[in-house]
Amino acid sequence: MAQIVHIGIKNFRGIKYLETNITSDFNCLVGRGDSCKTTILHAISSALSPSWNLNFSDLDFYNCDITEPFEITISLIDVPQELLIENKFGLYIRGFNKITKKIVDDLLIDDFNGELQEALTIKLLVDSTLEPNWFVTNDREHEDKQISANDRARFNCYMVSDYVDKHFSWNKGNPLYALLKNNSQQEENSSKNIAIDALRHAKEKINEHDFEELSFTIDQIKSEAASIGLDLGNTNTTIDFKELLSKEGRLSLHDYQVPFRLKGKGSKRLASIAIQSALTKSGGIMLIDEIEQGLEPDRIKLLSRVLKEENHGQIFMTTHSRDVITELDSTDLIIIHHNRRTSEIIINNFEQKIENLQKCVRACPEAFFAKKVIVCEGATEVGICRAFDQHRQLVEKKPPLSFTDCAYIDGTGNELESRAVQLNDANFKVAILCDSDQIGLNSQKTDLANKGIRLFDCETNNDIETQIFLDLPWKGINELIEYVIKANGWNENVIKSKVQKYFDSELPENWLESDTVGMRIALAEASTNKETDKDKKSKDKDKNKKKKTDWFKRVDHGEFLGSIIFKYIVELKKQRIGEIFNGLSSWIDD
Amino acid sequence: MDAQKFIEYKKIFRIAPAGYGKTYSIVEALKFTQGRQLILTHTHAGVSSIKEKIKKEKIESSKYKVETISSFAQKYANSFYIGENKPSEDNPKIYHPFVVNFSIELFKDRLVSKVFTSTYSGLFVDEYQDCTEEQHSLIMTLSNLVPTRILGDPLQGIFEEINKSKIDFPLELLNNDFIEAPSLSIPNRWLHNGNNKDLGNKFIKIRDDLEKRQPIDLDYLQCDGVKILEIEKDASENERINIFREKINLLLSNQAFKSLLIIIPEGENGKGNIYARANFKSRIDHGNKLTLIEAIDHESFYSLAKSLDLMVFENRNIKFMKEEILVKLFNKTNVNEWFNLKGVKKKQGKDVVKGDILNSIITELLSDISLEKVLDVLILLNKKYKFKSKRPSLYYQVLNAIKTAIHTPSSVFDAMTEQRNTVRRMGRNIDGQCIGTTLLTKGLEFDNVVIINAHEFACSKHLYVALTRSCKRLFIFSENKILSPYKAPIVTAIKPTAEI
Repeated sequence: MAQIVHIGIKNFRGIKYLETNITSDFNCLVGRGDSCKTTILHAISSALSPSWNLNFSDLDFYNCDITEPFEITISLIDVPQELLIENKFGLYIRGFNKITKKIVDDLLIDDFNGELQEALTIKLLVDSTLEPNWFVTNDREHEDKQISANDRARFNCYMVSDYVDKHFSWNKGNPLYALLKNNSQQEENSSKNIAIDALRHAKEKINEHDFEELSFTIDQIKSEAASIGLDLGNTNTTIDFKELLSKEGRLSLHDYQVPFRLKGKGSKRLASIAIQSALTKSGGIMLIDEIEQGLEPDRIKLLSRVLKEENHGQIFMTTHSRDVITELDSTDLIIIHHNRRTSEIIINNFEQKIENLQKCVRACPEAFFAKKVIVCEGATEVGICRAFDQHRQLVEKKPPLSFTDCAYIDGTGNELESRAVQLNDANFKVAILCDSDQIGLNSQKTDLANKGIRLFDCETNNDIETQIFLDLPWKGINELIEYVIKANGWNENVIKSKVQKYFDSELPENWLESDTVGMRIALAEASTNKETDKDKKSKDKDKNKKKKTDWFKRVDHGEFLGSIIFKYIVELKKQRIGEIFNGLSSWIDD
Repeated sequence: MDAQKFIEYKKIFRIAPAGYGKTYSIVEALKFTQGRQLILTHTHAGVSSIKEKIKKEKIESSKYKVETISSFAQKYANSFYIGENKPSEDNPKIYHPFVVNFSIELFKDRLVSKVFTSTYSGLFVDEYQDCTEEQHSLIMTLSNLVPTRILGDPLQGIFEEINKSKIDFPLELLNNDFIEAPSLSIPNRWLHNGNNKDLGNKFIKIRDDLEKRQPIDLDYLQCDGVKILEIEKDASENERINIFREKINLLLSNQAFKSLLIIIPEGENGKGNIYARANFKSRIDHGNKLTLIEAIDHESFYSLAKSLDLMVFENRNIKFMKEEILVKLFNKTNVNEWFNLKGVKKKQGKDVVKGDILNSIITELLSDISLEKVLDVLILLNKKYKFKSKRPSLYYQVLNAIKTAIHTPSSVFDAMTEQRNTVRRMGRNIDGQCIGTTLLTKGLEFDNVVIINAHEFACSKHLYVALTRSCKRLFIFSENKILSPYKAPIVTAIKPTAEI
């Protein structure tokens, strides 16, 4: 059944110009608010609308400038056979090249290797008269041909949005009706119009009722009319059949006696989605705006998974929920960046499955809602970033990072670099916050910089803890030690013995006041449980166990670490740590 | 072989004489076919006649589509052609072969073939003898896509062109794996109620003679309803016209002759061409009862439209207007009465005022020309100054094209092209009392047929077609009673590849 392969939008709402190929049958549009995700859904739904008319206003034009018409073009493959006959749109077919994913018009030249598949392009054009006109179009010389609402209805394209009440009625143009039609195509003997027959039946019942209570009044009119020469002898009371038929949703789905339209938002949306997924099972295009609306996280996850797995049509949805994204593959995502300054819309869809990005989708879904991403080396850095965000808000009176469309994610050490590169390739602005103790990464630094990825790292061979223990004023270090003791339920002796391990000579009595480089390094090494020569000899060392005994390798510990850094950030100005975070701050604000 | 059997074959053809119900056998077949059938023929007259016969049988319109081969090919070519090299429609000699050749390529394409096969489940081609080589290969290409049934009669193959090799029908079909169905044996046309049964039977021998290239004795045709009218060989042009006028006018006012076709043979040096026919009609038909049948794509429609565009957009002078527009559109005598090459003639006596008015109108027109003003002037000349047109349909087509050009807006030429295309698409009815040629009326039938100058037919096929148009009465004007129409093939006045 029909599948969209290309979308073009001109002058529609927030979109001045947009053109993109669609390569998947499951498409999740993500991007910050106001990146025009919903506009794209509306564009599709308008262009393929089964309604004979749609109401538009000046607000639907880009910048409300009605002098330029808006135009939406949707190219589809696998269109219903009946649209491809000569007197419908057979003479308007275009070629979709399955390999290059391009739409071409010269079938004789371009189908040399037989890689073309027939496609139709539907165009919705609205000019200052606000009258919508739908055409089938191509770039050959002949004029566009109008396409009727009936023919558009064959695409079975419906949108689940805030207003879905009509989806529960059996009226023509609604998904329920389309589903009924689909089913009756398979079963020949099904009646032509069950809904109208039922209404007729209802009218008969009402006809039978004698409305005795009204008869006195009617008689009064009868005699009054007779006196001026009008015979109203056959007058009685019943219901106007036209009323029964014409009102939207007279015959609709009910839960026992309660109409679906009175149900809660979440249930209503789910029911509406259910009707349409039944449609997409036989092929259809389902548009869902903010799929998570009104749903609990577990239902969001279930819904996303089911939609993805059971889909036989094509689905476009938007989401702001990480619960949705974690259920999806990278190929399902279409990332939309809206550059407000240039009003350019950058679209990214991942035609090939990118394994690393895939992990990133699962691990750090929040990155996909942002424009800028700080890829952190590990939990410690993520924690520090949290504190950093707090500090920016409370002290510097800046908006939260999420407001500046910036996310920070865990690069989990060895994936750090590839994750950053993938995100960068996907048009995110990427910065890396990391140690400097990874040799591999050091050699890649220039490469990353060349790609436009900003690197914020420590002095050579320092990990972040070392850098902090070297740079912090001693008061700060005392606070850190106090925190570690408390957090681990140790006493001073325990920690002293841990530090002793990395200190060349006997720790002095007042080691907590002894601000020396040696002491700082010993503390740093103790905090990361650095392998000593002795450790290297005992091979049964369990790495996981090591991790757990690290002082700060947890987001919350990292956050405390961060809070101390930012407490002394003014004093740290000249130190590497200060440079890192001041630099990061201006990168974020840029 | 009945209709049901006929359609069981994937590639089949049938040859039958005129009037034996070839077209009718298509209609019969439609009662048994599944899905939509494409029915192709050559002329628009043929399209109308087939449609009419189908409608009579109350066959659902979703079961068929009737078109000329050219308009069918044109529809596809126009829809899929990309590029700059498509010849212009006003040059039919190049345009039509181009369109057909391009559509052959199209139907070899997978996607376009699919459009065709999902639209049509079978193909009928009528009047196959008139196929050009290109059209033949188009049909052969299509015959690989859907079951194809072909009907025709080599003796009615009058679309010949001396420079072009015509296809050898039916040999070419046999070479393409077509099998031949038995011919039809009953002269149905003349057996219908009230038609001339004897005439039908007489045509059997005439056909036989023509095929054997024997001389034809017109006296053999003598029977009820047939009149052979000999013309004196040394009669002057005026004397001849007088005879024609006298006889024909008798017929025109007679109710029994409301279906009447006058056929004029075409020949070398413009003999019988549209101008000659228009002229002939104006001399014999003072009551203006006859319809002058025009070829749909006659170049004069396009050349006049072009002249109008040049006049308006390039500000041509009065000489151009007189010679390229007025004279082409109206009777020369009317035009010369009021115009010379410098403008409106100085008139004397009662026409002084009318002359002055016309002069000021033309001066104003030339000083600031527009299509609107040209339109007004043409209407004024026709209505107030009694300029007559020998070709009324040309006159109305031109007026309509100008109106369309004003409203669209577009050039008059484009408007005319669109207008002619519409006629081509819709087909047109030719009935009543008409004057035309064999080419324009092939496939049609009339109760009464008058053949002017039968001795001038140089080709047996044209003669056969002319004779067999009549169902009831036949009037033949001829210098000789014995005809020997076996001279070299005539140069047809109308381009054979053009749309008729």
